[in-house]
Amino acid sequence: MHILMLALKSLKNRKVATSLTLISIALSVGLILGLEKVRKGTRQSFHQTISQTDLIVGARGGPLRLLLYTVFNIGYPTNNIQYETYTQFKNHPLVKWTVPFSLGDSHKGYRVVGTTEDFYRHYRFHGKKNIVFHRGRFPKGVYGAVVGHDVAKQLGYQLGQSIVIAHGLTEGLEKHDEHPFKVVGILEATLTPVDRTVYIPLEGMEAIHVGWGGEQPTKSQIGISQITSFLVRTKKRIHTLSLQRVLNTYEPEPLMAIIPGFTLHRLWQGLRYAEDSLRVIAFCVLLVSFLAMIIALYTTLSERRREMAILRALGASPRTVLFLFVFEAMLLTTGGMILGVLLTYGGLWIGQPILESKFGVFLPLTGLSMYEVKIFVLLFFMGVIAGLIPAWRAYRRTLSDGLSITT
Amino acid sequence: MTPAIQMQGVQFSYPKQAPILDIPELTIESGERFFLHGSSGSGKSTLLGIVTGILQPQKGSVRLFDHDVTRMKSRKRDLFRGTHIGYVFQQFNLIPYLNVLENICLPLRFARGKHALKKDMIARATYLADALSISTCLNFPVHRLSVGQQQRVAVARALINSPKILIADEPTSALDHDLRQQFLTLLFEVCSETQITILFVSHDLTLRSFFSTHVSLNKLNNRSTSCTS
Repeated sequence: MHILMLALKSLKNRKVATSLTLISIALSVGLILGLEKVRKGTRQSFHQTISQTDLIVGARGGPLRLLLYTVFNIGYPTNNIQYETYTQFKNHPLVKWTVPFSLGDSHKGYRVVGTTEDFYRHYRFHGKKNIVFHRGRFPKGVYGAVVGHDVAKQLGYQLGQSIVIAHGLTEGLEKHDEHPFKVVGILEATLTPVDRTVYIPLEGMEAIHVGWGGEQPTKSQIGISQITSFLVRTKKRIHTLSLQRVLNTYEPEPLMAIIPGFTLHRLWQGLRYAEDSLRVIAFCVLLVSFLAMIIALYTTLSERRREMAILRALGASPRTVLFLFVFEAMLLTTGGMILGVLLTYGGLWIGQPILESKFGVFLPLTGLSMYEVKIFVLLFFMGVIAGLIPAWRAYRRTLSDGLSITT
Repeated sequence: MTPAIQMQGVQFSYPKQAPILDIPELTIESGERFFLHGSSGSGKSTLLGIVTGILQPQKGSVRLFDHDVTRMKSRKRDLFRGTHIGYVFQQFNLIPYLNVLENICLPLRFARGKHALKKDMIARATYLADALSISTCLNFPVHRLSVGQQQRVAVARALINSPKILIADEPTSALDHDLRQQFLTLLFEVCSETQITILFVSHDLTLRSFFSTHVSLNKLNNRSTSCTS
């Protein structure tokens, strides 16, 4: 019989202590693994808030700021850009499509964004997903509004609802209440900031600011003067950098073009300290459970003195005794890890829909990554080292005890 | 014929303690049934530790057949013990988490060159269990056995490797009188077919009639320090 089998049977014989140790290791392994999965899931959701967009263009300023106000509804734009500039690049030979945004207004705490049909047609997120209408359609007239999923849900809006848009991003003093908008479309949930946005046509945005009184104008009657930023998709992605250079060195007005993936990555890097501190905590929990394992093995030492003497009498070397303890620690660690993995995937499987609907984080049930495998190798060796502590004690004891047992 | 056990000028003391054993000479012939009488605290267990090579004496030599165990490296001593010596303790002989059969077969794990035996170890275990009338409980967990049965399992385990020497340290002290007789009768029956050397240690002088030779440890040992003195 191999020593490993002996270790296994010995563990099985101490059911309560073994299962408690296993559970403690499994929970902390689950914590580490779960944390990794959540971290990855949120990062992925975050990085894919916007996709298939090669460049975001706005007035010159901070790249992070441009990204935040264009994609995440955070912060304010400092300057606008001329509409002529936009149309010029819209028709640029390297450009496949563009989506313009005009920011600055709000509705009951939700941002109002002026845009065009191109938004509904071209905007992509989470890879290839596009904007889908839950109800209604995009506005044909000037005073039509499309509300995101959360907006409709929170404010209880239906099609035909009349809404008033406030100037400024907080519920301000100035309301454009002489120009009420009508909800003509409600979007499906996207799990991105789109859900918390009200979209109106660029012309509508222009109209409420210019103060187009009297009769309702048609889109063609309104000349748009400025927008805040726009998205660019190049015909060939290889042109992205050269187009970026053209935009950044545009003479008539100071522009800035950023590559969203690059800036998103930089933004995420800025949040890393939070990730790291969570990891440190998870590893501390793991250390505690290894300590619990050491204690569990250590407390058996004195009651197992006779067992050690028997093994010695049968021809076991002190090293065999050492290995018996190390193998027990190894089995506990491995068992705990397997249990922890099952726990994590089980938890993910159950928690996935809840996380997605409540927090907008989609956690895919992916296999173990290289990083996670590395963690497991590390844990395995930590377990063995932890096992060496009681094992060494047992080793010393068998040497001094010999065959005499005082129990 | 070379003696089975030959000790010469053996002196032993535990670390930081007064010497406990000083045995100028002890010879046990091959095939002999040797009764060593010793009261508790007389250094019986220590002596057996030295014979089996678990304890290293500070002086002297211990020869088992042609091998000087005191000159062996510890790894080799362990292997030698596993291969050639069977050992029975006073009581609680068995590993609690293994069943009877697993306990009996355990020494095969620590022996060298017994592949032929390993092959038909089940057969041999069954044969021994049969001879010791414990064959019905081979698959029992050991805690279901009576003390007498446990001691017989220990004998089966000690003999599974067909060792040359069987060492028994007070194996009957936990048994009452009738069982004691029965146990010894069985023990000798099982051993009768082989030329095994038996070193039996006990404080119970009534058992000496079963043995060919009987020696008192107090006489052997120059450092006889019994508990009363």
